[in-house]
Amino acid sequence: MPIFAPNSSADTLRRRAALAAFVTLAAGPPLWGVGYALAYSFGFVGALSSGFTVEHWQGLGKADSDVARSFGFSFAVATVTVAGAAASAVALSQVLRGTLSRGLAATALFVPLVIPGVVAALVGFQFLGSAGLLARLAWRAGLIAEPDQFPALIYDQFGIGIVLTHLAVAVPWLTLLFIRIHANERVDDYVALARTLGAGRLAAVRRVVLPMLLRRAAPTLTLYFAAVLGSYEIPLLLGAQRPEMISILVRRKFALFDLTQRPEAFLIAALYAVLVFVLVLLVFRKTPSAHVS
Amino acid sequence: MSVNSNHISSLPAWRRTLGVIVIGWCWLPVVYLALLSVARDWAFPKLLPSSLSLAAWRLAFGPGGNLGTSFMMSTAVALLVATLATGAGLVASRTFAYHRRRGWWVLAAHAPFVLSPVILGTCLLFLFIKLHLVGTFVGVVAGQFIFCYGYAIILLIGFWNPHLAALESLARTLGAGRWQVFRRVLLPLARPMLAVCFFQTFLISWLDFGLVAVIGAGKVPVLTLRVFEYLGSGNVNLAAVVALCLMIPPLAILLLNRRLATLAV
Repeated sequence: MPIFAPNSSADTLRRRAALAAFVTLAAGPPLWGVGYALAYSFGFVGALSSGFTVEHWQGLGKADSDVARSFGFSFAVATVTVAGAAASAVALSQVLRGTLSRGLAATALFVPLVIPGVVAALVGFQFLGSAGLLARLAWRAGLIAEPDQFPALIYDQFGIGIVLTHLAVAVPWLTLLFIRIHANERVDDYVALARTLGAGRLAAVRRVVLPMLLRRAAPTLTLYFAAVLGSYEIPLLLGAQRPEMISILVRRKFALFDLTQRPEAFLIAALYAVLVFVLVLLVFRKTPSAHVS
Repeated sequence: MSVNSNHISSLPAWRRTLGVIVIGWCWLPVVYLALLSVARDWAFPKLLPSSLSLAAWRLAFGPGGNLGTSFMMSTAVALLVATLATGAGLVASRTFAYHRRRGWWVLAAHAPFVLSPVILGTCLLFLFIKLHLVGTFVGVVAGQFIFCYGYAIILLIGFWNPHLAALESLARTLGAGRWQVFRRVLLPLARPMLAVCFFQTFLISWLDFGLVAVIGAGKVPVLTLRVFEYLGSGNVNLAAVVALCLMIPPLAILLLNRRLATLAV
């Protein structure tokens, strides 16, 4: 609903200019990019294109398809990461609300926000590698005698290193987010009310705290899911050669000398973009605070 | 302060310990990278390096290191992107806030932001090649601006509200021109939010790797690319030096003004 309407033709002109600038510079390029990727995947454009074809899309159905495996793997990694990060952050926010909400303690939670993906991957490699910090601690504890006895936490087919590195970066700032939501939404007041009305401690957490926190954080968690799904640096440096995360597969197929692989790169890119757009649209339409009307 | 200290000291010991562990966990990468940047002879199974040396720092900032150039390049790109995105975001967010389809426009502002920079960069590569922007400073700024513009709108849309609209109307009724309303009413009120937006968009650009790698084609030598190059060549000491150079400026700003990040979370 508009707060006030423009009151002159000059206002209308300015508003249209601002919208045109936005469409040209922000919304337009991604849509153009997705459109181009779709056109490439259907054979309309590209160095070797010979007209409309669904050949590349038909390959999606194959059981041994790299694409299907990559999407499955990426969705699994993103789901486990977001679920793990949200669960850990909610738990920490409930336990440490008094400790971490003020002063230098709260500042510490911001530190992971200034760690770029490539540096997170470097630290992840240094901590989780077979000769890394954890392996050295395991050696010191007498659990292993050689580096190769340490379980593979990086370059593994389950993406353990990718998930752990994402978690290490995300849990602190998500904890801060939940602490802020808890305070802003006055969750304690609702919990007190529920307890007065006879709810047990567990029921109050399950029926009041979790729904309030998760509903309010849903847009942020969705954006974080999309970010992990499309992450590049961490899987590039810590992931196995197969299965690959979506971004890695797109770049690999795009950069190959074999140009016949390029339509598949654009197919993956287009499919990923459409899935993310649909996901964001669904979540934001259901979230009152997003005001999509 | 004393109330806060008393409150914390009244918490059970296990909660205080857990709090210390979480805080330590947050700072651990910085401490570890600092140690790694000066470590010599740190092979398995040593928990700490045998000796320390500033060789990697000297090499990075020496004549052949080019770290100074990369630092300047990162700073120039991030400052330009943050300035453009914050200015354009302020104008666009005002338009969206007062639009009857506000929700849809805000959703559209998420379009660049929700996509992986590497994938979007790959999809836009053809367009950027046609515009002769690949491998150029302007190309990297343009690519990052797409992301930061959308983000700035999302961040600044909350600034515009009925109270502000009423203030604007009041100032106009009292005879202020459009420019005077902007300079005397809106800008002073918007300044804290603009600072947050500038810092956040600066950070997105400063920490970006995907777009610089794809649109910049490795020819715009920003700090994130340097970390990757040093990692690729197996020189973790130099990679740690560059990583610290990436993290210290935004960390220092955060420590000086935590509000810059608080408002964005």
